[in-house]
Amino acid sequence: MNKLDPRTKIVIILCLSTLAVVLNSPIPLLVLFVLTLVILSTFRINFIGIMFKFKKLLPLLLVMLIVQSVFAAGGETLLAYKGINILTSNGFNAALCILFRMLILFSSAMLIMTSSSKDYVLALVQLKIPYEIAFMVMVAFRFLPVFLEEIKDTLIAVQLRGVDLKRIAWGNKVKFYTHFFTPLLWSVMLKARQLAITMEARAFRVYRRRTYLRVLRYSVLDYYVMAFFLLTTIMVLFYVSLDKFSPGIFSMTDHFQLSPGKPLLTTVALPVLHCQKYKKCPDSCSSGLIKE
Amino acid sequence: MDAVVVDNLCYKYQPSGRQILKNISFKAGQGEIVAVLGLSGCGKSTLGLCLGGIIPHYLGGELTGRVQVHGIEVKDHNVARLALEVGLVFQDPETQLFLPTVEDEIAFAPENLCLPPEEIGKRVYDMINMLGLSDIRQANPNQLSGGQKHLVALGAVLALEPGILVLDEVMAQMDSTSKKKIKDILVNLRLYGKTILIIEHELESLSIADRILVLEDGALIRDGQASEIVADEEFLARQKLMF
Repeated sequence: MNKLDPRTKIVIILCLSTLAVVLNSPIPLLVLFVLTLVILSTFRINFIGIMFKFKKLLPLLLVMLIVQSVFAAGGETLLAYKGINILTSNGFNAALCILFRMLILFSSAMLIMTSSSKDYVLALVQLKIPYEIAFMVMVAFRFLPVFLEEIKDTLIAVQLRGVDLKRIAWGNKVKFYTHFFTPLLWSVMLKARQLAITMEARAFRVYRRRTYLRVLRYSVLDYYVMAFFLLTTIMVLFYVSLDKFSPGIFSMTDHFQLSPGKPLLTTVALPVLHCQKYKKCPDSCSSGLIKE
Repeated sequence: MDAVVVDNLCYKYQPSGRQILKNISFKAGQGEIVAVLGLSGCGKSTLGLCLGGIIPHYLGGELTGRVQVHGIEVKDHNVARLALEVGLVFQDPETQLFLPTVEDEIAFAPENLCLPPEEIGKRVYDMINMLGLSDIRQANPNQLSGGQKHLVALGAVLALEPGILVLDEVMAQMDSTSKKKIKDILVNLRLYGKTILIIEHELESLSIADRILVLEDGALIRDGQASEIVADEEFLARQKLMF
């Protein structure tokens, strides 16, 4: 699978991401996430290992989930304090949706790593994207680790001058970050200029067109894989569009609807603040929620 | 026709700033190896940047006088056009290597020339064989040793087949084996009629030079045969160029 054309991988990523954004219910998103993991395993990508590297982002994800669950209204009340709903079934669903959506977007993007950046330049150019833009994308990926390295070096340089980052008072942090980001930005700008000089000194953009040592060609497998993903995505999108008219498993619109012409606050916030127990409303109910 | 003509070249980075190059004039013929020697800060690298058009097109500043490469006025053409005439190899290979493999790095310049893929492949093959990079053809340039990185940077420039090659302190941080390899390659290139300018601050790296230009504080203080200048120990000691 790793030998698939980079364009096919781009199509897979686009299909998975589209579905992750369009689907709006935890169960289909969970199914899609499992499917994404299966795809990753066929590409021999160690999902757990990569996720472990991003463990520092976990608190951010948790905050996002809590915010989602608290502010999404409707459904059964799961947790309430002095008459104010803290967690509802819709809130819980929304949090799960966000979690699965993030995981799908993140894990599908991992497919990018299975081809070299030069292959993606070729892929983008063969998809009729101007080569300057394709190279810009490649250089951005290439210099991301350099940028991170530069951050580390600047931090070490600051610490070597006797600054203890943990002991800086909050008031002085702004001042510290000014001193931190100025050399960082300067050094990144110098590197960018040096790279521009190097590229042009090797005749980059001397002509309007450029040719390539290698040319990407689709294999039969590429066609099958692309057809499978495109057809599946189109089918799911079709079902989701039907779901808008007759509620089903793909969306939460049966639980939570905004009514046209009614202010957002009235539609969403007021039922949450004033109602204590809810039951699922008939389709005619404008807020989707009625007091029992 | 001379490959390089520099006539009364003066340069300042800023109009109100210090004069970096002062009335420099010299010519370099086809197939000649010319070394530019001087202490740090004497304007050697600035001279190299003027030949490649980085000055004035990228770094601006105030440039007066004439710089011609193969009869083309540097001021009147952009860096990409000048790259077809002058190949520049800088001191720091890290910033010159930006592609995922050695092969991609060498193929980058011929790809810009719109050559057919077969011709690009031939140039890459020739460069890899000439520089002895076959074993690391598919390696990531970032994971190579310093000497190998310099060789890849040199190959990436040579793949353009420029008539003039400017090496800015390329051998400064190399071990003796790598230096010898580079020198052998340069001697070979001279046989193909390439004009080579080697910018160095160490006399040791200039054993292959035909001529030496000595710069001091932005001025050309001596231009002579390499053998003659190397033999003038008193002059070299006075200029602190002898170690």
